Amino acid sequence: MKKISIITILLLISILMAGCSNDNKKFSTSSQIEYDSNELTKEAMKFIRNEDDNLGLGIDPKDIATNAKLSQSYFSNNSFYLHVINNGINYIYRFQFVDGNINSYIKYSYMK
Amino acid sequence: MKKIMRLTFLITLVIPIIFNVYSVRAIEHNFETLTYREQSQIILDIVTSVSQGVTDGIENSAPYMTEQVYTDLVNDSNDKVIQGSIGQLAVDTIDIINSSTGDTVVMANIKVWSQAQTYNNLYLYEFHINKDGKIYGYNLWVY
Repeated sequence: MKKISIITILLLISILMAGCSNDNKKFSTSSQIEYDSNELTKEAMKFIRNEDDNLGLGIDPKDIATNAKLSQSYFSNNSFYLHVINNGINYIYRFQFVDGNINSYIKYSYMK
Repeated sequence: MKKIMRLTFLITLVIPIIFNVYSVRAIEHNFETLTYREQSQIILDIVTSVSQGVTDGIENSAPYMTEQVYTDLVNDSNDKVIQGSIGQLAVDTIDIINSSTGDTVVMANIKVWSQAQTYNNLYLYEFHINKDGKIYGYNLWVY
């Protein structure tokens, strides 16, 4: 009986070792996102096309892409990125969150 | 009975060891399993290498990228695509759920100080990670 108990304990320790030794952290932002990304994308596209400024950022005339069509979108807890194509030219707009609000944006042109 | 006990004891020790060895091999050099700090360090090594026209940082990070990406980054470094010193780096990791491309994407926002131009240039690297945890493609954007 004693030997069986020792084996049981050893077995448990081994299982725990197997389970815990590869406990790598996986970075994930999804749980921190509390906004409606579809709604935000819609408003940001209006902003980029200069149709509406519900984001309240005040777009610079040189950043307006009137015919922008959405290609890809990426959302993290700090920023969201919209890859748009305007008259055949690729751009990425990065919108940055500060204290849960969109604070600023930056327009990047495709380089390579 | 004694033989059975010994055999059981042996199995309880050997199986977890084998399991561990194979698990560690499977997750080795997987970008997605790294912590945010580790991911940022790899990105910093890569962009610093490119901006300084050297390849050591790219070589050190090579296990986390495909051969094609490695070659492309080395070419970028040799071609001096970006020149200057990295002033700031902000890394955003976007997981599959929040990426419309259906893969993990790492956005590296960098500020590069160029002595020749005496001002900062802003760049955005868009790295795409495949299911094996390797960078398999990237785009470079400029402000």
